[in-house]
Amino acid sequence: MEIIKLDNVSFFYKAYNDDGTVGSATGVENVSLSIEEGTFCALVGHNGCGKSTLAKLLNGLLLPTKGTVTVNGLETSKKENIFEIRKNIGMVFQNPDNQMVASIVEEDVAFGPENLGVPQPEIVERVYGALEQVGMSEYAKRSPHKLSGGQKQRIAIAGALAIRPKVLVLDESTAMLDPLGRREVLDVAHKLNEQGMTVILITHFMEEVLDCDKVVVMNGGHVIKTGTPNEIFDDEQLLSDVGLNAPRAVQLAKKLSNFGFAVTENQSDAGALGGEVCQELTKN
Amino acid sequence: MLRDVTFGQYYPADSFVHKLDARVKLVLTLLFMVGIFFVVSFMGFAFITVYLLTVILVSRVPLKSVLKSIKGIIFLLLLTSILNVFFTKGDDPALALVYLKVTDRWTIEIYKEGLIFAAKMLLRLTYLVIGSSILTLTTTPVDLTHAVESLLKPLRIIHFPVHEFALIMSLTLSFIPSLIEETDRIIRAQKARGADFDTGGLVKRAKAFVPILIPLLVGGFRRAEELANAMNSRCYEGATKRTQMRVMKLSWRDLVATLFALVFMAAIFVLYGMRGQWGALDFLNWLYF
Amino acid sequence: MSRADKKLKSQQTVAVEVPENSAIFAQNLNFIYNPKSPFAKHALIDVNLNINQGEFVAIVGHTGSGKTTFVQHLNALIRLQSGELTILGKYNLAAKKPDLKGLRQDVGMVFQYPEYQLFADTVLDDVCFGLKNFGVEKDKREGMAREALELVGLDFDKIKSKSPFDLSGGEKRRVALAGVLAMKPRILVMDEPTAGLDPRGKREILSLVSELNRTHGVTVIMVSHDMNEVYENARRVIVFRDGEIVFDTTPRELFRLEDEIESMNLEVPAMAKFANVLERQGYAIDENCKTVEDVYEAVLKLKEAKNA
Repeated sequence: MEIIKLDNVSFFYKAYNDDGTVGSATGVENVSLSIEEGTFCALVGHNGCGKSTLAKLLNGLLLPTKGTVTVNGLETSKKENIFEIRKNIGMVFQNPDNQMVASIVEEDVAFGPENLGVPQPEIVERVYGALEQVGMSEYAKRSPHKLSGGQKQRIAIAGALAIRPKVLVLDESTAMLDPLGRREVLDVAHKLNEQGMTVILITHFMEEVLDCDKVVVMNGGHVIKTGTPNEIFDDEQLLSDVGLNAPRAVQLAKKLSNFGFAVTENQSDAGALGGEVCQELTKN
Repeated sequence: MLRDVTFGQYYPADSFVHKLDARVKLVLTLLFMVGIFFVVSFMGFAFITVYLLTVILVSRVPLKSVLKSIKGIIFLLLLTSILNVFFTKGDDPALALVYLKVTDRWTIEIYKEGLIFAAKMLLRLTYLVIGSSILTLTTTPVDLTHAVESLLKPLRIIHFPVHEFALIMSLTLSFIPSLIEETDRIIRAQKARGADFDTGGLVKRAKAFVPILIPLLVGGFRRAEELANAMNSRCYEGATKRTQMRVMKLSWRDLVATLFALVFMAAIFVLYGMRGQWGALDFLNWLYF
Repeated sequence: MSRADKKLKSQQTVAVEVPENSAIFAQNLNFIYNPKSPFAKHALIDVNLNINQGEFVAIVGHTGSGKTTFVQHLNALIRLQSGELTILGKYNLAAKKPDLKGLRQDVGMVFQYPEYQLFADTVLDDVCFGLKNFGVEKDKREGMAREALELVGLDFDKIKSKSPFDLSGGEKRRVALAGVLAMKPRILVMDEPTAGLDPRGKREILSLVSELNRTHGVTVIMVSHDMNEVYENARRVIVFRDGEIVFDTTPRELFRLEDEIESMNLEVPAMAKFANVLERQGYAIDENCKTVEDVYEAVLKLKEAKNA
């Protein structure tokens, strides 16, 4: 079943022209997209390609200028649906410091369920359940300020999970983290996906899309290609057009395989690729 | 550097005072602050000293940390009391300890009454600061916020936005550490570009802060927008149907503490009410002002 | 340290022998945050190093490893507590009153997310901020700002009167960088210059930095978390752990030590991992082959050699 459906969606920002008149700038244009429940979907593209605009269209933070966005059968453009839609979509943003509402971890995670009017004993249950899911239970009483970037983002994920959403949207949530923090966040996202959560990962790190079910490439407000990671990596022309690169190991594997080496074409593990190349070299 | 500034002065410990309900602590502290102005005799000060020492002892906060709170304002305290020395005149110039004629109109007179009054003022202000810092030393800012929200609840009847007020307090608290960090970073960055905050006249110095304030302001707006998005995404729709995770429950401790405080305060008020009526025992209550 | 000690020290500093052509020379550098308090933290422990002019050095290590404390010493944003630190052979930071103005002009410092320091009405004013502070005459400033903005790849005439807040993220960062480069620093210290940028923005910044290093001879000190970036760009890597320098070597040499790298929670760059496997099997890949392109060529050569 498709949980998210965008039908010919456009969104234009208000912008000021050089002469001071009000014009518009393209956020996204004519985007149609559907995401099945349970998928791990990556949305990639450069800054300004429209991927974050798209994220904000998903839970009604922005409403489409044209077209419709449907979440779990509900249209975002109908005001009465918004609350229900936001209950279905957990959203985590880029800057971990700018999404904390409380100065104690457990109170921050409780913010969502408190807004939903969940009875007190159930809030506690949800908060501790969510912290457990992201592996942050022991930090419940701490101040989020002292934690690492990766830990803060895991708290933010817990805050989203406490609403019990069907979809988790990570809107460039790894962009400001160091590699260790990024791995922490991705591990949590994949674990949640295995448990049935639909995950939408917005990123420009191509290493992160390796294990996704589906990759959507955006450029200039348009979706220019949708496919599996391999299909995307195969399209070298497309990647160079939008200025993205496949992960280094994959790039090398492709080059070698094109040359005629017997290596796995989409080998993403550089060590394993090295092994394959050694075999090839010894064989002859 | 700014980084060393810790916000609030909470001293973590597992004491009777720490475990008290924040609302009770807040109310009792307010009561103490009112009460201290009814302490007029040295007898009263003796009482209140015992009270404060008991509370500090039970709170397990080292005396050193408590006294630290005075360090910052010691100048202000001393100034206030020294001024009192000069501005309190006795009835009879003949009894002045110091009598200096500066000009025809100006004389410097110091009386015993002035000294005593100044000493009491100093004690009163010091105790005021100590009393309130015991509250902040044993209560986290978060708990205080909740206490304020809870205590202000009745004001909802007159449409005072209690929830919003508490939310603003709580958001402010959670932003202060990163705000300090950001300020610190911007100062360093501008210093690296040769900015000079330490020399020049007032106007030049004030101007030097523009390169700090503008980025802070711009950053503040960015934060506010991102925070609003994050809150909306987490289904925030105002106070209407909100529930709260934290439950505040009174326990036997709160009862004990309240009784203890009330006994002392009652004693203070009795002493105040009976000033000058002790007859032969009045020496116990000497020198009230 | 007593007053007498200090006096003695300021006299002694003359005696330190700084190697010729040194950009950064540190001896027994120690730094403690909040000394003499329960929160005291020994952030730098006996740091000794010499970086020559013209080097491209990457500094890596975990948060709290001391790397940021170290780089902030380089233009006296953190004052020296103990040890010796001499910059470009002429700024002795152990001296009582080092020439901070000259130092900060010669050592350009680019902080994390430098675009968050922009403040002026126009791009030109912002880039000129440093020039003005360092006392460059008014009529020379615009020319220097033009040079810096063109260096970072921006069209001066198009951008000079724009508000820095109307630019895109990548442009803002380049303007901020131009603000530092306008002073023509001889040493450029950068704290994660590519953090938060998309791949294109990253490539632009890195190629600019390499260019500065290669053709302008600027000494580059770059703090980075991205080991691929370090591997492909730096010619020397210094690894900090718990306030100490634990490795100071070439990138190729460092990333051969896979176990040590992983135990420090750092990543081994993909191309290094690949080369390591080949090396262990007896197929040597040239030290200088670090990009995908170069490694690919190297493998082809190995194959040819085998066939021949």
